[in-house]
Amino acid sequence: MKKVLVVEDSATARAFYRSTLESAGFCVDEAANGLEGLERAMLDRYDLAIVDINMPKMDGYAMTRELRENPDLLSLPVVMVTTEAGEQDEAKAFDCGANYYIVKPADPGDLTLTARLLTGSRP
Amino acid sequence: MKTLLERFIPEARDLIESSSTGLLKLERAPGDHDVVNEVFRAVHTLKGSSGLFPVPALTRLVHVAEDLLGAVRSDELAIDSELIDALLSALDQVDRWVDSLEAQAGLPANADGVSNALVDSLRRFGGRESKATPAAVAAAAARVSGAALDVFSEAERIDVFRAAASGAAVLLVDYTPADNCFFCGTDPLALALETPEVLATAITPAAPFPAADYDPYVCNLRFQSLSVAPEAEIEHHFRYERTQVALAEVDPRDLVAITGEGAAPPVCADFAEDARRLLDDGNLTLLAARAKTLRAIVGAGLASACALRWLDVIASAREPDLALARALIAAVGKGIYVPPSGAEAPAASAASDPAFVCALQIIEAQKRNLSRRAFSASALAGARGVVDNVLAAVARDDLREKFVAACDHCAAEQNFAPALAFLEHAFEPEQGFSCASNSPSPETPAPPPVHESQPPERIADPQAETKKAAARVLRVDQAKVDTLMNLIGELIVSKNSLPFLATRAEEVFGSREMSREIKDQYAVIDRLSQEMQAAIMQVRMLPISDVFDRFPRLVRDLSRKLAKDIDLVIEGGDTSADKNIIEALNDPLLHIVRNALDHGVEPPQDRAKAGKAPRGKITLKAWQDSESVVIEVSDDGRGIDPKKIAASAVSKGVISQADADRLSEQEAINLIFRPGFSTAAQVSDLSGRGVGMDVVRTAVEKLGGRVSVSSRVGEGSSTRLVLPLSMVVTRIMIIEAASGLYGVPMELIVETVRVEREHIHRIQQAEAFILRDRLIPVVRLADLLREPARPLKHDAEAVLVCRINGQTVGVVIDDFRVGMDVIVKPFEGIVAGARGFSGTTLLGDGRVLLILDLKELI
Repeated sequence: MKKVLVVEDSATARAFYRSTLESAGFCVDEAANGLEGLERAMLDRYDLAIVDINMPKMDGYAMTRELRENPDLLSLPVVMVTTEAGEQDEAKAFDCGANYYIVKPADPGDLTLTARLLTGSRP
Repeated sequence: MKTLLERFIPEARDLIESSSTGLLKLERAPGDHDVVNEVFRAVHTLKGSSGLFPVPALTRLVHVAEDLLGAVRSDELAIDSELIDALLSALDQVDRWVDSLEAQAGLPANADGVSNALVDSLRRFGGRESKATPAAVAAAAARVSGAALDVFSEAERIDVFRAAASGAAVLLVDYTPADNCFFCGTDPLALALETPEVLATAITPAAPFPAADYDPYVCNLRFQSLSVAPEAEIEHHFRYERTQVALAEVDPRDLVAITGEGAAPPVCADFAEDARRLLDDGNLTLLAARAKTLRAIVGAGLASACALRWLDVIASAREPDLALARALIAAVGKGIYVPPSGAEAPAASAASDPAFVCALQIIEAQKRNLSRRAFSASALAGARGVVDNVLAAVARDDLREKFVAACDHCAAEQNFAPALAFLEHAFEPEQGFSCASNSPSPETPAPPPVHESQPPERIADPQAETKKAAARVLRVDQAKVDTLMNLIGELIVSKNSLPFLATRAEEVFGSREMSREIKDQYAVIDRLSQEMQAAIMQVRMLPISDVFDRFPRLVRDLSRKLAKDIDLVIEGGDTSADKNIIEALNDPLLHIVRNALDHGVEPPQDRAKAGKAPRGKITLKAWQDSESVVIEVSDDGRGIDPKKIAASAVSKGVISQADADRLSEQEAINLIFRPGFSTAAQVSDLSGRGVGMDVVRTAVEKLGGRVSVSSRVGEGSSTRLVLPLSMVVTRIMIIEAASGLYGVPMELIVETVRVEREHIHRIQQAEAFILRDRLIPVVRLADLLREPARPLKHDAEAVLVCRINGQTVGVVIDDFRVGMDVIVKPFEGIVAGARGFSGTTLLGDGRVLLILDLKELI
């Protein structure tokens, strides 16, 4: 089963990701901020990380940057979640090492599809 | 979605609370960037989470608040009280909406109007609008579902569809006039019919008409119209009824509905086969002609005929919607209409596959990523992983190999160019991805939504998933904790029967050994149950900051209203106490703080005259003192003048002049706790509405606590509340009096003494004795209970020295017995009003013990 790490400070949003992804057959782990997310990513192997940008302690940009410092985590697909779609945000996400980004609130169907494609599972 | 909403509500409240607190901090220290960031993040998260629910009014308001905070964060907007006021009132509104979400799972009907008004008031401050409208807000003018259009007839729908096909955006105007609109000079029918560029109007009852009691003066109508006018124009038309109108975009495809009998004649199936081929060839003219011929011979009441009529409309459109045409052809053939789901590109059906669209988006993103930066091995590794996964997902192993080769070139050349070139040309939309089957079957114009299909991984070990789901923190229903608490309370009480059992074992059955063993076991159970009680108490403990946190806002608002300048200092907010105590503290504290604001702290000019700093100070302090929580509210205001209090009490007839002359200063101050006492010369807007400190005292005593006030004229006063940490299990002392057993709450008892009979002196009507140089009045419990006194057992009288209403009293009883933890059950039913007793409890041997209410008795 593919494992997804959800890093997001809002418990509501985490519950949304969990219910959507679990019902699509993913195994979901949660972290409430970038620091926690980084810790989890180091401890466990994931097939995908979904990372919110605005978080306490460590934001999504910083977390992704730190993540990419670790040679084992270079090819972990990281999807950033922004609330505003804009080229600037995308550029910033890419610069920090993210691979893709989606706009909040994500549609459950799109989210599932994106997660399937990025983890190499059949859509 | 319900559980998601249940999570959202407490989270939203926390976020509102923390942003309000932050805003108040900002008012004092506008330059504090950390606080600005904190508030911005809270509001931002709130916006993000609210976007998961259909509450556009709320999301929009929070979004505008976020914009303003964003401008503050980037120093484009300065913070002043006005801005803070506006933001706080927006947050207050959001808080009310969260309440309404909790109560009825939706926003009130007027939410849109309220939101618009608040948004306007916030926009006055400027701020920048965010670069792009977030999806949540863009979806605010919600899309209607096809079912909402059922009120319109086929002819109307076809008309509207034609208009939409020529490029107009269709809006559904849903207008439900107010009940009383006939009395407001509104003509709802005229207003609805005059909607700009209206193409169809349906009138239905807003609620089913009642069978009886029909009131013709109440408007019970709902007007639904389809219009192709711009949104702004419609809003202008309904500008006086804005809150009664909902606008929603209509997808022209949703207008298509097939009605009629289902069975399709064979001729229709033949037509469908032909028509599909014509559609593939792009020969729409011939298709339309064939459809026309068939219509002439098929019964008009059939679903197939209906589908043919629609097919005619679509085929004659300037830019025919091919996916829709395909779905309609299938409907003609089978008599069943399945609406198309994706957009169909004119030439290829692969483009309508959502997996293809999504994969293409991801690959486009990789192109953008690689083309905007210099070569780096880590970026290449990332893109390589992602593209490879996507290709694996859509089963294009041929492309995977090529891509890997291209990436190897990149690594060798230290350049992204080979990979970019590959990504540029590898995916031609016509090719599609062969993820399902290479040629989608013609009957189904688009594959079913992908997320509904279940991958094989689904059949997984369910336990493993639950393990993952277990979070570190449990959110438990309060009622469950309360039940556990009560059960533990009962356990503590029932263990009290063991000592009785031990006594019986020894006295009745003559087994001293058994008695000792029971006592040993009792000690064990006693310790365990005490520990259990302590553990459950910990679960129920809440920090006092839960109550204190309301006050910064209150003090700020009220001090502005009173034109006073006041600082609120909070200390010891992390002191915790039982949830019941915390909850019951709200009102008494509110009253005390209001008093301090209103009567305590002087206006700035008076303070200046008295040589004090112009800014007053109110301190809220809490700390734990053995088994109690102490809360102190102090101010540096004018203090309480005992003389004024005494004079006021005399004039109100609370005490006599003679009594007043005898009072010490402290006793005079304590007069404020007498019922019906208020010192304010004028009844002010804030406090002194006839509710005095006596209400505070009653409330605090109900919690088993005490309240006291100390004050120095000109320097300020302080009110101190001493409350038990918990209030479920009460410690009582069992006493013997007037041939019965009674319980007295331990918290009232200062000490127990035996006093020689001759040391109790009779002074006029009353009795008193001297205890460590203090004269203590004596009352006899038997007299209070109106029972005959019993002859003395000892030479000395047993006296309970109690502290009641701030006075020390000696209560003469027959004898002391043991102390015990009990649950006091209040009286119910016909004895509910019994005076002199606060309730009953069960003794270990099954007897009922009455608990005395000494305050009432004395």
